[in-house]
Amino acid sequence: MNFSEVFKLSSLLCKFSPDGKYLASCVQYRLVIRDVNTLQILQLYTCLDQIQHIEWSADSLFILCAMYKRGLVQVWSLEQPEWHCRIDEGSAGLVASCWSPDGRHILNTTEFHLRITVWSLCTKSVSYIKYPKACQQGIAFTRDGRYMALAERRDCKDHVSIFVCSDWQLLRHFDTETQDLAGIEWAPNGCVLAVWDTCLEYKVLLYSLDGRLLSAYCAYEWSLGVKSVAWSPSSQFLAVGSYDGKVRILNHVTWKMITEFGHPATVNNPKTVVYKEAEKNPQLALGRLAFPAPRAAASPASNTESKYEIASAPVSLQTLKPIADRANPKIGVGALAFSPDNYFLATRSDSVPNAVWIWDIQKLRLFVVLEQLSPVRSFQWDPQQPRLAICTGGSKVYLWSPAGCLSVQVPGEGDFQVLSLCWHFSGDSMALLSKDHFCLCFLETEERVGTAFGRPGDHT
Amino acid sequence: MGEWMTVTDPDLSSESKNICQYTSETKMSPSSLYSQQVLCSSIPLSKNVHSFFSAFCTEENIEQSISYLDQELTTFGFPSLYEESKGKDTKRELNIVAVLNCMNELLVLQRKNLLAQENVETQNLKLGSDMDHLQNCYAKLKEQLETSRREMIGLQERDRQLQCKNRNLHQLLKNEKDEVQKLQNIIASRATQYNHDMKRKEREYNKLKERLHQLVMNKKDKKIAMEVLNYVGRADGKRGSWRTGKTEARNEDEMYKILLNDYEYRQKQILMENAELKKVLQQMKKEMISLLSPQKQKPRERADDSTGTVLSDAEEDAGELSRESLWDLSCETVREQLTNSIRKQWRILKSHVEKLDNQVSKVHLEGFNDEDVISRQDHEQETEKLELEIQQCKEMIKTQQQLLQQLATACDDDTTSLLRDCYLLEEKERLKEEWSLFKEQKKNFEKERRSFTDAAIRLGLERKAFEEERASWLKQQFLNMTTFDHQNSENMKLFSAFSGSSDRDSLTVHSRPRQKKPHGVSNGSPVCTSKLTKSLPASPSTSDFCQTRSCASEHSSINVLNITPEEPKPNPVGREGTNQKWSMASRPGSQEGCYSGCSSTYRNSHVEKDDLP
Repeated sequence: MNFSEVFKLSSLLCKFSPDGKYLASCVQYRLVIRDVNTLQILQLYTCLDQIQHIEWSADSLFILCAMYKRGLVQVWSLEQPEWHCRIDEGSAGLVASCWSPDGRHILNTTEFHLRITVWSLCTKSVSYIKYPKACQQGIAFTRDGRYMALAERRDCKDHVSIFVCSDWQLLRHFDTETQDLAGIEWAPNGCVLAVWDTCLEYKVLLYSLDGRLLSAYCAYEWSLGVKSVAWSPSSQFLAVGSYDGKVRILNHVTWKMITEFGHPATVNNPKTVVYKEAEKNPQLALGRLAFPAPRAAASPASNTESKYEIASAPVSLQTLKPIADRANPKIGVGALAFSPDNYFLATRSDSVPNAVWIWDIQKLRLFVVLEQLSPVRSFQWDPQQPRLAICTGGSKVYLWSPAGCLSVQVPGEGDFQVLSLCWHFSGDSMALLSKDHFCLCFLETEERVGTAFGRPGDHT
Repeated sequence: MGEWMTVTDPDLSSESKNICQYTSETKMSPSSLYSQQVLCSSIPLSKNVHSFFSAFCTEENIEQSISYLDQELTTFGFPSLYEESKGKDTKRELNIVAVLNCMNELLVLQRKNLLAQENVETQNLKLGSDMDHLQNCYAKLKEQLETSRREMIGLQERDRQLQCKNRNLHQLLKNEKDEVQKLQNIIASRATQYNHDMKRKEREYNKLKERLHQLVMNKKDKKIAMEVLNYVGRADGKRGSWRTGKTEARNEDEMYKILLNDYEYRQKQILMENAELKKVLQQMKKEMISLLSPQKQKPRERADDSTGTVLSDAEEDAGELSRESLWDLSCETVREQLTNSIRKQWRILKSHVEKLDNQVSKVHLEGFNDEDVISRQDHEQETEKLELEIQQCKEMIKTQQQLLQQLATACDDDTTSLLRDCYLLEEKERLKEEWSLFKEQKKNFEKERRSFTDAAIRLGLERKAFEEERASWLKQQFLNMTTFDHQNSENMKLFSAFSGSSDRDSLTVHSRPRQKKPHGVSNGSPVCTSKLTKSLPASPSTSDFCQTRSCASEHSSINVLNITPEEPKPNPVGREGTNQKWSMASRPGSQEGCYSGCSSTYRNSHVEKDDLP
């Protein structure tokens, strides 16, 4: 495992281009485009204000930079550096901006969710979509980029509109049986839309592309409901994480629950492997880590290295006592992610903030629990193989694969606190983001992965 | 008395003391009857008894006192002290006899009274103590009553308090319930109000939004604009098309196409899954049929009805299997057939497995629960039987081994020659299998034989001396049958073998190919051989007999019977001879003949045994 040098960054804005060739990062009002392999600066664009949001177009030709404070969006072209485009939302303001899947339209949401403006880069045409709903996840594109589902609120009722992205024609419009719709998400095959209600009520609705209600699922009543939803890449399963600390897996044939995964604070099943992160003396076993020793030695002594230990059967995990009288209590399953091969599901229960639970979807049982020393900030699956990268806001990055797991100290001067990470689509590298720096982490190629993960004492 | 005094109160005790004194006194002086009576009646009188007593009769008043006493006595029913007057005027005279009688009677009475008094006193004391006891008991009970009453009062009080509390709690509960109801109502009303408000607010918000929207839009905001250097081409390279009804229809079409594709894909997957499952089912069915059919053969032999019908089903299914190609044609009928047949098979399998389980559990029950008397008896009988069998088998093996040894040492032993053809018909197959084994053995035997002949030549020199010795030995043997030992017998056999071989070469050569068989037979038909040879080592008498018999037969064959035996001897010898002849005769005959020969020899041997003393 190799690390690049550390580059400057602001507001965690760093993104790989969809084709994997470029890496865009923002430093204040400057946008820097680098080559992924050489990390040399290819382009440098200067925006009008501090950039708050960047997004690559799907064909990696354009990149948009949103400056919400000024209601501005600037678009840059990689092919033609001199080409520029500036969209001003004026007094309507701007709260969100995104590309349409074709990479030729930009959808801007105005303040107060008054409307969504669809700007085209091809023609002068401007479209408006009224009544968008202000919710957690109100816009969803199908994976093939053909359709867009939009949550709307009209006459105190929730609606969903399905647009054809090619000409922004309304295809379907239907009201949903929700109290207060909280989010929508397309199945990866683009044929089923999952709609879930606000956290006050457990309700998951499944609509077909043509607007038919396929199924409604409600696990329980009178308690806080859905917190997170994730489709499996095969569209076969819908995982619904809820405030009762459980993940329920729905199947795509009957839309009934197959199983539910609880997140108890003690892991009793001896078949489940529990990896506990433990601090390690810096003198011991430097050679174990894959990165070169001199760099490891150069790392500050204050950052003690850590390793994983396998805990034996009944393991009790650190739990957080939720504060009952505050909003957004830290309970329930807050994060869910399927591995790209559908075999695993990684979850995080907010009341057990240090642990990542990895479930075996084939056997529908808990497979591995990773308990970190500090609360898990985020985790992301390698797009190519079942390999999970985890960061906890410390100076380490953690990797898990079925072969085992390891913790890697990020080298560099000062404390590099990994707040977020994102994988390159090839799975060969990932960007580690701290508050004002980022670096790239290059993983071994296929043939060397075995040595990197071949830790003694790993389970089979 | 002293014990009782302690019980009584002081006054009583002093009184009784007095009584005691006086009673003893009265006993000493027999004349104090009156005083005694007086004493008993009144206590204050007792103090001046003596004075009064002395004052009662004086010289002067004898007459008066006598008359007084007479009067008193007569009133008490005693006869008069005076003689009965003959004349009215005559002065009555004191009748001494009557006085004495009276006195005696009085004394008797006095004694009686004393006794009675004593009894009464003791009873009185007893009663007094009883009384005390009862009083104590009473007091105790009273106390108890008091305490229990107090307790009761306390409990009643507590009960009252608890009831009070309960009432209070009920009241509280009621209040709480009311409160809850009230709160629920409040919540409900608040919720409705909230919802209402929310809706109102949302409407207002919407209105405001609308207004804002209008304002923002109507202001002709110059700022809302897009500055673009030049418009770029579409990603697909096409030009944008006008939005018309056509495009709408096309969009619809496309949507349905996508949906259709998805459904088709799913259907395909399901079909594939179905096909796979069907395959698995069919395979399962085949395996089930193959698994179940051999097991069902047996039940059918038992003429079991249910399994019989089941078997026919299975055959039917087997017939269906041949038309497997049809199965892909129509789905539903085939599916029904398949599932039905699988279900049937499954039921059969299940019942079969259950049966097996039952059997196993039964066996377990029998194995572990010896409580059942009958089964235990059966079990014991069975074990006894088995043990017997084992014993028999062991004996058989022993005898066989012995026979083998005998054969190894003495091939031409006459007993074996007797048994040469003694094998059973059904064992012939097995014997043939053992044939090869015995061939090998035969080779060994021949080797040995060769060595034996060598030895015989050597021994031939010694023979004459030995013959003489033998003559003397035979004599000795017949004289003391019981003291014959085994070693000698072995020598004997050896000798007989050599002698036989030397004398009857032609005969042995002739019978050699046959000889192998009889050896096998002797092994294979244990009944005959064992019956014959078992007795050899068992008891000295039979062994002696056998040895003598073999000896005698040998003699008969060699024709060197130079010693005339005793009376019982010729009989078995003669029989042996006849037997031998007969078996020889039957040898070339059929197997049946052999069998009969065997049985006959067996019978004969048996008879011989019976003849033994």
